[in-house]
Amino acid sequence: MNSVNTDLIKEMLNEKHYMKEMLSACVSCGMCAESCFYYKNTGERSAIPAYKVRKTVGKLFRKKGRVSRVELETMADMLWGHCAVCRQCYCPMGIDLSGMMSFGRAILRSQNIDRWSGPYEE
Amino acid sequence: MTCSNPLLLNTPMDFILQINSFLAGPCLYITLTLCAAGLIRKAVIIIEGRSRGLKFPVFQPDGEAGALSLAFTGRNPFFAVMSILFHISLIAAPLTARGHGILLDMSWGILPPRFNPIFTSSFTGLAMVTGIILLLRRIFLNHVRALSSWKDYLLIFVVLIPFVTGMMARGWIGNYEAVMFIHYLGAHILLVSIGWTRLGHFVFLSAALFVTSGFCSREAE
Repeated sequence: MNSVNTDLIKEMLNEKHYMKEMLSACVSCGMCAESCFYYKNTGERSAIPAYKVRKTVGKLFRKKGRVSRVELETMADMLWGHCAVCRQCYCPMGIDLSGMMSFGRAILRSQNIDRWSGPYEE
Repeated sequence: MTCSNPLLLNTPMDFILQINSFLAGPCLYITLTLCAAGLIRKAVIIIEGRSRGLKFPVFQPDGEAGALSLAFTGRNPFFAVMSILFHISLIAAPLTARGHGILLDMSWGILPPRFNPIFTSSFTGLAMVTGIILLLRRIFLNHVRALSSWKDYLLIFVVLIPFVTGMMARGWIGNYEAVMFIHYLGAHILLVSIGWTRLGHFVFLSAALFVTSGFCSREAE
């Protein structure tokens, strides 16, 4: 199955449309990075929780679910390869970053993409 | 420099005077309505989202008190204090400005308490200094710079412009009417931005604190 069911993604995004508004409240203060063990150990930008959410769930909202399979597979790398969903990412605005990462994983699973489908596996 | 007939615009300064009286008068109603509409929209989305599973994660490094205090103090005490002072100054400076009180009295007949101008100047100065410190934090700290886009830098300037021009107007620095034009325009842009951009983040902060500090049921979190 190589096609992307954009209708299903749109439906899932509509169900959680408040997440888009929550993401828009991010003032890029960087406090999520200070509480992320993955970022503290690697120092990579791609490990900053807010960055990961913007590039995955945020991108899905921006593009209204119209993404290619390659884009989804790249997201899999961030959603599984750079996050343990340990729920330690602190946000003073109350943005549920790890909840959004979980939601991103659910969207990818709905497209038959899971932990081992991402390019990081190769 | 004033124009004898208000409808006769002889010079650019006459035009600025006309625009200034519009910005300080009728335009304020439009701006406040837009600001309120944006903030209400945010609040409605949060309330509606709660019924759709919106959660505010509870981060408890040191128990119940830790979650609340972390929201205010953060992990770096210096920048946390700067942030708190910045936000207090942003609210206190316009509230204590005598010019704003006069406008309020002229428009709605409400005469607010008269503060010594030293308060306004101090809060304005504090807003500018702490704002610059937070800007430097954004520029020099790797993880903050990595997250920042041009919008984040622009918003700091949008916030600071009314304060800088307010200070200039009070000190009679530059052409008064031109400075006031930028002051009014900057203030209107700021108020609308609070409603419709991330400058309205205090709505989310308040909601997060309301939920996570135990004011309402946290069973669903």
